[in-house]
Order: sequence, then C-alpha cells, then structure tokens
Amino acid sequence: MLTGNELERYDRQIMIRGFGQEGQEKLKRAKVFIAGAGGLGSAVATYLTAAGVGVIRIVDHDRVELSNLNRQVLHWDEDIGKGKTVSATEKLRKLNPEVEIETIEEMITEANISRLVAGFDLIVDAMDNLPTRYLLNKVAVEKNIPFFHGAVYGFEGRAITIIPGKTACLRCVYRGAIREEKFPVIGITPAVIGCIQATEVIKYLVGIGQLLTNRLLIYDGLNMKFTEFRLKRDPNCEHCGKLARGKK
Amino acid sequence: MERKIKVRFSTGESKEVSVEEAKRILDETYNDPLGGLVANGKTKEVISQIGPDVEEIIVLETMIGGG
Repeated sequence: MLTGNELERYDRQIMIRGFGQEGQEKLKRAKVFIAGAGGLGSAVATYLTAAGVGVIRIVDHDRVELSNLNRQVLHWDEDIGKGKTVSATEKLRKLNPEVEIETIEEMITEANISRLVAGFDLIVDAMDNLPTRYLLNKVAVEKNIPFFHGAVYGFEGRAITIIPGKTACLRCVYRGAIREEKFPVIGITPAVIGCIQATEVIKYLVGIGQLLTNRLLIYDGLNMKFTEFRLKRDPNCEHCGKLARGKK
Repeated sequence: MERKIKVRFSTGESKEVSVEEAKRILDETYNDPLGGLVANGKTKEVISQIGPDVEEIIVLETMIGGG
C-alpha cells in the first residue's frame, strides 16, 4: 500500500499507461542487487532510488579517488578517500529516504557471491572486469535471477538483459577473460548505459514493455548511433547450457 | 568467381577477404583470451561460424569498463 507521500512523490510515473499504483507497489516490494558503485552503478542506483525501488543493495570494495569523479556522479570532491559504499549511501538516502539502501564493502568473489545476492529479485552488473561479470552471470543462471548487463569504453557502451533459462546469457555471448584494467571513458557513457539498465530493471519489475533480451544494444556516442545485434542461446554454454538441454 | 566476405572492425577499418580468411578471423576473435564477438553484417545476428549466407561480418571487441 502506498502512502500519501509516496503517491505524491511518484505521481508522474504512476500516470504512465500500464504503470499505475500497482506498478509503483511492485517497485516498492522489489529488492535489487547492484554490483559496483562506479560509473554505471552511480547512474543505475540514482534512478532506481528516485523511482522508489524498495530495497537496493550495493556492493563495492573501492575507495573514492579523484580520477573517479569524471563519471562516478554519486561521489563528489569531498568524498575522496571515503568508501564508495559510504559515499553512495549518503547521497541516495538524501535523494529518497523512502528507499532502503543497504551497502556492503566487500570484493565480490566466488566464496561470497551466493550470500551477497541471496533474497534479491535481480542483479545489475555495474562491474569493471569480465571475471566478476562472469561470476555474477553464473550465480544469476544458477539461482534463476534476472541479470542486467552493462559495459562501457570511451564513448561506446553496451547493454543486454538476461532472463536465465530463457534468453542468451553473458557467457553465451562472451568467451574472453579480460582482467580489470584502466580504460578510457567519458562520464556520459556510463550515464547513458546505466540509465538503459535502470529502464530495463523498472520495466521488468513493473511488467511493462519489451525487454532487451536476446539483443546486444550498442551505443556509439561519437556517431550518436544505437545498433542492435541479435543473440542466440548457446546450447553448449558453460553457464546456461545445462538449462537449455534440460528443457529439451 | 571466388566468394569474398567483407570484414568490418569496430575500429572502423574494413577489408574484403576469402571465406577461409573470414573463418580464421572468426576463430581468432573467439579464441583470443581477450574475447570478442562476430556478427553477420546483414542480419545483425551474432554468429559462431561463417555460414553460406554470410556476406559481411562485423568484429566487435569485448568491452570491460563500468567503474
């Protein structure tokens, strides 16, 4: 049940056809896990907090550095040296005190990933390295949790929405194993891709629109183009192949 | 006439190659530890082999950033 304050705060989105109070209540009941409080994480967390998702858990082990501030807009000059989870919590709670913000300052590993995502309705990939992205993808597939992938480089970004067992997963698409490394990026790119991820999350939770499944969306900011590539599940995928074979 | 396949890279570079060369590029892209993707340029479908209908391929590098 929405309070009077919530009805007023979310009035403009409740007005959207197909959204309504019912959609807002679905957001309020939702628990979203965000892996990373960097460039993508800043955009996703900000818009999901503003939209009124019930519980948001953010996991990040980094501290705020000066070189983060061109893109990680949840962290400000005064936050340099603070944990990113601390900095993110402060801003998000001020933005919308109705939302429960949980933060955990840990590195995501194979040993803790199941515990970290337990009880959450979906996982947002806002990481900066492929091995952790694969780990998130694997646990999402194993636990049947929808997974919202985003990645950026320079003026270019990509996004895919994954519904385990139904649509192509990250491991069906990528086979590489790039480690964390310094990469070029302009702040608007993770803002664009993070907003696309947040849009997908909201659509999924509310149950409206068409998800970005079996499609790789590529944003090219330099030429201002969006391109889509069609994806197929790989029946031999090491993460979701078993699910595909099990359905036959 | 020998079948040629146009190859476009995400860097903007493009060239026409033989089917064998296109297959080699595809294998190299997927076997590279840094990863990458190959898509059919016409259908915009991500592919794992060069089928008879493929006239153009697009090679996309793996993207890592987010933080």
